[in-house]
Amino acid sequence: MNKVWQCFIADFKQRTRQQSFIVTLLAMSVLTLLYFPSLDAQYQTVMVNGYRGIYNSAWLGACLAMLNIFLLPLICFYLIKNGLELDRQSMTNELIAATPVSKVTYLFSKWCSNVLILIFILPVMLLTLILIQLYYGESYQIDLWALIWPQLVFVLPTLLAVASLAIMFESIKWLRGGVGNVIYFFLWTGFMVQNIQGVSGAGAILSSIRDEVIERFPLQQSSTHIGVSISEGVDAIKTFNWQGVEPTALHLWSIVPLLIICLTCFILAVIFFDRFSQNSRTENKPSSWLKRVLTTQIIRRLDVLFALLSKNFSFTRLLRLELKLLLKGHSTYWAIGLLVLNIVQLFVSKQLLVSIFLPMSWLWCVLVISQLGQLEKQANTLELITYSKSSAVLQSLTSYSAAWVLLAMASMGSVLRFAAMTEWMLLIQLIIAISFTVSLAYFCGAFTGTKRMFEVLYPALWYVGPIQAALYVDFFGVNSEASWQAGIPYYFVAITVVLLLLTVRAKSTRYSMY
Amino acid sequence: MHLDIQSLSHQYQSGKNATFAIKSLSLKVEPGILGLLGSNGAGKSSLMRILATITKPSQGKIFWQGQDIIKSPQLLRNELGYLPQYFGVYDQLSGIEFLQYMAGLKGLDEPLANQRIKDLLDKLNLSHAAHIPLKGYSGGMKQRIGIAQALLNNPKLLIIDEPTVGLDPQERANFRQLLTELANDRCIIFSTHIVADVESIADRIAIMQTGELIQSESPQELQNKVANKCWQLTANFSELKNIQHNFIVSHSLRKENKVELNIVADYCPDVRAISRTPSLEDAYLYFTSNRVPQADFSRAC
Repeated sequence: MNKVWQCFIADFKQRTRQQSFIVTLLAMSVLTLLYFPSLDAQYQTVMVNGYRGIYNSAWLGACLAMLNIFLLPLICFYLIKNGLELDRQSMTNELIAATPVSKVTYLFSKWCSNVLILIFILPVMLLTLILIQLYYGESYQIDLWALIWPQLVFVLPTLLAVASLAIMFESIKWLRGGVGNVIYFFLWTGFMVQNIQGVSGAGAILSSIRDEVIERFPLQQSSTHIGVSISEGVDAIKTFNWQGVEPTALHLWSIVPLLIICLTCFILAVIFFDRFSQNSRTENKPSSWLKRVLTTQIIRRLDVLFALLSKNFSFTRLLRLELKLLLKGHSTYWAIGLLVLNIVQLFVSKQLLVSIFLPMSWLWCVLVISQLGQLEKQANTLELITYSKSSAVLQSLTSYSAAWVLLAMASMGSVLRFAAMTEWMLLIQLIIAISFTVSLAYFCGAFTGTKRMFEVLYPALWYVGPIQAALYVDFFGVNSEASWQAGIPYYFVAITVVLLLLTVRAKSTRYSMY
Repeated sequence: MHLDIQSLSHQYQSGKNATFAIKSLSLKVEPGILGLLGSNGAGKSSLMRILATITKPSQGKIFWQGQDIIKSPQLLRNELGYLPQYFGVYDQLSGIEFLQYMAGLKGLDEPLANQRIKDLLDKLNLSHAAHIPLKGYSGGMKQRIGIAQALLNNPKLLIIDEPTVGLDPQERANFRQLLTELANDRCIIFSTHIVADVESIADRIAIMQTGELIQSESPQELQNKVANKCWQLTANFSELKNIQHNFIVSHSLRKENKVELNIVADYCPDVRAISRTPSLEDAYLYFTSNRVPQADFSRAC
């Protein structure tokens, strides 16, 4: 037990004594504030048939539980998916591997640490919730039980499962990196859908609220909405006093599958965890004909051509090298996939092209451009770059441009199609989308120092924007004309510029520290 | 108490371009200090990681107290102290917190752990920094924390890989003293490429080259093997380049407008050369160098 306790407490201290942990807690508090807007706010979140409950403890507790069930599995997964990585990165892994600690003990202590970090978030959100209730003053009666029980019954088991999932993803080699991040995003999407449609969990709270609204206000014909919707003014929103529900056996039953997931993932983690052993022995397979042709005949010749074209200017010379840096180490099959997607872009219908194949080509590049902004930190080359730098701004702009060129290459088929169809507006939107995506990748990499944030954020934007065609996140131009009318491209240009300026400034400051 | 390594091999790649980190290495380690010498890339760290049960070898057997530790690594881990060449710490923890953590992983009871931590911090001159976060430690202090964690469980087998890197001369001397005190009732394997680190304290020296064990003797026996191959020559600076090209020069000392050279060669390198007492460094350089004296210089004396 001492082993578990010492391992848990050291890991917990190491992870929570960092500034980023405090920032995360503050961010969760701000998220809670934003989730409960006032009646005259420009947006609303939880609306049932045009009604929302007054901000009493029952309504706030239930709505916070719904927010947490939907969002925390995503945010928290990426927050805690560094328990084992921390030991690899800090190079304590060999010290740990040589101790008699068992896989079960070590992973269990990591799981406990994950759970405690996640649990820390809940009191912060609850405290914010109490402040929200007192601030809006729609009900001054604080009912702690009504605030807490939905978190205990619905949120806590979810967090236990997320803690286990994070350990499992870190223990299985091929799930450790970017592929795992993207896979988890789709798992989360499935979990959300299942939760909304399910009869237990968040679905149970939602249907309970919906039933009561229909019973009390049968004439309303609007829909149920959880998320961000544009408010139609103070008069359009009707409030009612929802007294909440007590936990039932059905609610408690929803814990069981989560606990089973938690246990299964932990067992899988124990099975697959390599205990930091270094037994990997690489097979020297002869390279395939396709790979040889691609590397020697195509890529090398393209590089020679690019070197010839870029040799006269320091910007283009550096651009070529930054592009090589981004692409090095990625599988030949990745390049082949990109080529195939480009060919497909030439032949599918315009609708399919804009809403499916072009976004897919970009998703294909996520793990490559997520390296942007953090490569020097990961490779520990910051000091080398700093002393050899000609200009931090030049280096930043060439990295940015390299990723830009990559996304442009991923969209070549579409560019040709749009040009052939004289769809100039779509072409302009494509340029804006490339600029925005690269700025976002650069910003995420530079500010967090890891690839994780972009690998999570981008698939989420990708899903809501291009795939679900939500107008206000339509950076891709799926709703082309409506998008222009709503001024969305202009917003994204502004965001792009702000992100880029912030990143260049942050990187310049970082360089000048030496 | 002994460690028995039998026909150990480890290969990093298989197939046509197989790369061996260790090739058919057999060695017996008895209580005392075994200095493991070899140039960078000789396979020392690979051997260390295998002995520390981190890497599983491709072939061969290792027995600790007669028990196969490749099959049952846990048997050794309870009695093992290991300091890798490159290691890190949790930089947000203080020195004492980090050692408590490592003691927990090693299964030490809390009172015993606290006593051991206090003793080791004193011995390694870190008591004053015990409560400072490790991110504020210098390279030498972090190295000493590494040494302390290796000694926490009073290990019967202590494996230390390049432990003196980052230590200043005084710390290195203290560390050698500490190892000498510890060597009585345990096996210590001390890997380094700095001969001076093991010269005065090792009971036995093993020399590795390109994954193979090429010598395993006591320091005195190794020196005896090169006893008639060590020469001292005072030469002009203009001759230096040629001599360095043709012979193993273990040491050079500038003396006004000349240079005094310690040369290791099978034959007397020059009529001016005189025989001298061999050192361990001479033996190490002789066995790890592939150079053969050229005919022009051979049998000069």
